[in-house]
Amino acid sequence: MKILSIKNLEVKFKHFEGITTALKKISLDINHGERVALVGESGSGKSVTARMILGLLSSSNISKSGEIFFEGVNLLKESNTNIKKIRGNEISMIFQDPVSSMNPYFTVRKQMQQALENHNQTFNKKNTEEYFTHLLRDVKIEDPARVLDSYAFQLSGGMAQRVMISMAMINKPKLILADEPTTALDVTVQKTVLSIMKEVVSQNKMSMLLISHNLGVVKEFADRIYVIYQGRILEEGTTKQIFNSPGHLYTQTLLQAIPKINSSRLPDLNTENIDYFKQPKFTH
Amino acid sequence: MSEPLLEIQNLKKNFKVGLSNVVAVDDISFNIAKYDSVSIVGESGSGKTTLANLILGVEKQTSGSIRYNGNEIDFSNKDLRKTIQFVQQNPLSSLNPKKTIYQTLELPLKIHNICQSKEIKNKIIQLLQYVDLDESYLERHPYSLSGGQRQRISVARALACEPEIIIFDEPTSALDVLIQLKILNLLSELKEKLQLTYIFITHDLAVVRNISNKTIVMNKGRIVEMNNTQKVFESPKEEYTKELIRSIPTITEEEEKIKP
Repeated sequence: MKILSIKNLEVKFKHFEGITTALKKISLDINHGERVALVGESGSGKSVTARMILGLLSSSNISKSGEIFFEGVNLLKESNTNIKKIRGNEISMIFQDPVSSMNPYFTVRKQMQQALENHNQTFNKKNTEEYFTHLLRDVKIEDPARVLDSYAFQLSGGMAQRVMISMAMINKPKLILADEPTTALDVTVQKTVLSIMKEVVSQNKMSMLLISHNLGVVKEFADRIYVIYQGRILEEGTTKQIFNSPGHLYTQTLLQAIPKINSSRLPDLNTENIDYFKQPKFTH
Repeated sequence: MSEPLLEIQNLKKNFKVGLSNVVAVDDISFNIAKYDSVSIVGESGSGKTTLANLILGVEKQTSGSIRYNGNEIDFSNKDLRKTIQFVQQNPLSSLNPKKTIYQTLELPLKIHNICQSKEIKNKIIQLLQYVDLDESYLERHPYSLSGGQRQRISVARALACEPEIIIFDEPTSALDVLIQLKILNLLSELKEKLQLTYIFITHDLAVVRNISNKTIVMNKGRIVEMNNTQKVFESPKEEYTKELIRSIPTITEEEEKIKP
C-alpha cells in the first residue's frame, strides 16, 4: 500500500537567463511504514522534490506537471487551504540546520504549542506539558523541563535536531520528510540522531523520505533508495541492491568516490566527461 | 629524524566568557616535520579551529610556544606570516564577493611583494593553472563559480604567497563526493609538486585516513591520541578514538570489519 506516489513530476523554474528544468519527469513511491532515501549531489533536485510534496514551491515562476498522490489525494490539484491541513499535520518536515529553522524569539515550549494548536484545537491544554515531556523523552532528551524552557541558541546542534524531530512528531504525521537531517552534526552525534530517528519512526509506524548526499548515512537508515542526478532518477532499488550491485554507472562512480577507512590512498577515478544520462534508468 | 618544521609546546588558550574561563586549547604539544600531512580531528567544540588560529597568529596564546624552524614565531614579521597560509571551510564566505578572481589573487602578491607588478598577471595565470583553471576565470566573480571552483580559488590564493605550510579547515565538507575527490587529488598533487606541508582540520575521518600520514585526535581542548594515521585507525588506543571510528558511516563490509 502506497502512502505517497509521485508520477512523472516535472518542475521548471523561469528566471532571468531562461528556464531551468529542476525535475525531469521523476516517479517515486513510498509504501506505508517504509523508509525511503533520495540520494544525489547538490543541485540534483532532491530538496525541490521535498518542497513540491509540501507545496512550499508555488510561485508564478514555476511551471509544474505530473502528479503527487498522498493517500489518493493529488496534492498538486488541492487548494491552499487543504494543503495547509495536510502540511505539518499529516506530512511534516525536518530541515538541515536545526538552529536556524527554529524561531529564535520563542522557547521550545512555545513553538511546540504553536505546532500543536495550529492543527489540533481540541487538544486539552492541561495535558500538553506531559505530552511534550513524553515526546522529548522519546528522542532521548534527559532533562525535558530545561529544554522546554530553552531558546534555540541555548541548545547544542544535536539537541536542537532532536527537538526538531520531536516537533515534527507532534501531530503524529503519517509521513516525515527529512532534508539532510544530520549534515550539520558531528559523526558521533549523527549516529545517535539517526538511531533515534529510526526508532521513533518505526515505533509510530510512520513512513519517511530521507534526503541526503551521504551514502553512508543512507545505508544505515533506508529500506529503499532512489538515486537522483540533475533532476532525473537514474537508479532505484533496495538498499542492499544499490550497495551490493549498483547498476548505473553514476551510482558505481559515487560509491567508488567515497573515501574508505580501510584504504590509505584516494581512489583513482576519471570522472571527467562522463555523460551519465547516456545510460538508461536502472531499476532492480 | 629530521628537524621539525613546526614545534608546538604546552600551548594553552583561555577565553573569558562572562565571568567564567573557557579553556579552548589545553596544554597541547606536538611536532610537525617538513612534508608531513597532519590531520587534527575532533568534534565541534574540541578546540581544533582555535588551535589553527593560534598557529596562524589570528589568536594570541595564553601560554606556551609555537616554534618555526627552531625559532619562536613572531607574527609581526610579515615574511614569516606568509609561510603559513590558510584555506577556509566555506569558499563563498571567505572570498570577497565584490572582487573578481584577478583582484582576489592579486592582493596577496602585492602585499607580500611576491613579484614585480608587470609579472603579476603571469603569476596569477600560473596560480590558476596549479588548480586546474584557466585564464577565462580572471574576470569572473565568486558567485558565478561552482562550489568546487570556488574552493580551487581559495587554494590558489593560499598558494600565492609561496607558503611552506597550508592549514585547511574542513576543506571539502561543503562539497559533493565527486568534487571532494577531485579537490583532494589536486591537493596531493600540489603537495608533491610544490613540496608543501599540510595541516588538515576535519571531522571526516574517512578523508583523514586517505590524505594524512599523521593523525591527532582532540577532545575538549586536549590531545586524546596522536600517532601515524594507519596506527590510529588499525589499533586505536583510547576509547574516544574508538567511538569516533565506530561512528563513521561506512558503505562496505570490509570497512565495517576493521571498526574497533
